[in-house]
Amino acid sequence: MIIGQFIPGQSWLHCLHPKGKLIFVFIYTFLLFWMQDLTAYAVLAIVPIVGYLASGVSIQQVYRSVRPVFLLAIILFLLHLLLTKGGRVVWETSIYTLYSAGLEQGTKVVVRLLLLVLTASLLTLTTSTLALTDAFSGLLKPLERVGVPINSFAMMMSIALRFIPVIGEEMQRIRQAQMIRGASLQYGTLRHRLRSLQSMLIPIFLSIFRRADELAFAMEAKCYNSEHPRTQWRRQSFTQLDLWFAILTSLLILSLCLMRWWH
Amino acid sequence: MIHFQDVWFDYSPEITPEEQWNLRKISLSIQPGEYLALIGKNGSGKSTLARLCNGLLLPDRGQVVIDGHSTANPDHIWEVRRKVGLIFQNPDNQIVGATVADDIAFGLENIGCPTAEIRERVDYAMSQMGLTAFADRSPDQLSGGQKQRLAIASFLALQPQVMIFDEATTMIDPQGRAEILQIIDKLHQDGKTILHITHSLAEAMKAERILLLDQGECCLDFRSADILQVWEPLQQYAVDFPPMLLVAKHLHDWGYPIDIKHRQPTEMVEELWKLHLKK
Repeated sequence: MIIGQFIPGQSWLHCLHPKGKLIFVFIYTFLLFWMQDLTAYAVLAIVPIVGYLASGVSIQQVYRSVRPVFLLAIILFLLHLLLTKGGRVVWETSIYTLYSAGLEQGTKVVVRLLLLVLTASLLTLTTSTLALTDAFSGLLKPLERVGVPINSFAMMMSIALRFIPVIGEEMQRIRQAQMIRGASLQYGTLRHRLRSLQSMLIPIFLSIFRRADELAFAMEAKCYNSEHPRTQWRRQSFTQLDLWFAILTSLLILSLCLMRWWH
Repeated sequence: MIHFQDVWFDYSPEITPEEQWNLRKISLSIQPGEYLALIGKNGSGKSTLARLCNGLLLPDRGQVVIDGHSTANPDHIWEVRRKVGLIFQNPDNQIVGATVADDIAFGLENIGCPTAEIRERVDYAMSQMGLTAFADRSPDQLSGGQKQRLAIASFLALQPQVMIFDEATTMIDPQGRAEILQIIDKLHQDGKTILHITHSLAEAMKAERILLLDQGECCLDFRSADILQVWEPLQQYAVDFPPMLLVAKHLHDWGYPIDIKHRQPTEMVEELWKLHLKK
């Protein structure tokens, strides 16, 4: 999942209730796997298209969010071309036969994956990590009754998200420091490279532990106590916008159900 | 406000001989509204002392009393932490929130402050620290000085009576440092009790009273205006004397008494002119 990339904004997508958006992404994922034909995917593709137009996120951002899964998409596509048999024969040589079913399945898998990633990134691009963790913990709240410390998990998650860029920077610095000393991940034998990796990982872990220690002190200094009930200042309430969103979502589900029965 | 009564502390008291403990026989009193600076070398126990002030660490012997509450009493510890704000050296490691406003709200959420009041206090803290324009920015987009101002704002929102700055100016650029020092001055004028921990005597001279810690013991405790009286002992502790102070000291030695409070070069020049014209 593409995380920690929140782009602040004022679009209606930003204003939607994070819980609503989160539930929507779950429903959307389910629909993607439930629907099997390309026409349904065309309908489902409306969501990210409309979403990205509304959110005002730049094309580069969209590209950046899907880039990490391109390789996976290509591999999955090729696997289907190679392994799925059935349907017409599209192309034939002595060692390999390309079937239409493979082509179709491969396309579907790729489309499904891209739609999923696009929509999920839309959520993280328009929802602050804090709102997102609040939404998560809000939805998981019932689990607290059976003794799961949801609040602590939510806090852990939001801190992890907060520190991704900080630790990224730190890693960069350590990598450069070790490169100056001759450690390289690009050259040398595998054994040599693994040793280099070790020389980077150990300082990174040490630094993370040190940060964690200081952060714990800072949190305690700010009166954090996982056993105390906390208030949530950004408690957003559902608005009319969310009502419309729910209605549109229901319409989407309904139309897809009808499509499925049609077939 | 803060009372240390014969406090002894060590991180591993079982295995360390008593005479090497991190802090030994510390007794001190900080009055409400006082501006105190704490100087000393690395490893002299400055940060440890700061952490004893709000109960992040508890003394092994003796006790620390904040506004009538002992930090060792678990019933009062949250009360103590609300009264004492502690700003650390590295701003990155003390920012919890995903945005500036969220980070300031964090402490208020912790104390169970009602939502409307959180909003008010966050706005107030941001305006005090000049962060209003950055409310929805991610902390990663701030400069070092701004991050440190955010750290201060997040404590300010908790309305503490004491603010402790644990080398809070060390990791930021000169401009940011000047800003932080001004903020400290302003907080002091607003009636907060200030404990400023620093390596720099120049910064410490802004305080009313200076405490020197060496190898876990409190060695000197003097008013910054009386620094010339403790000059000899101060020299033993490898303190970096700011140039203006050295000039003042030399003039003083040559029989030209000069107000030690004049720390700015322009003020010093004026003072020198006055001396010259008197002659």
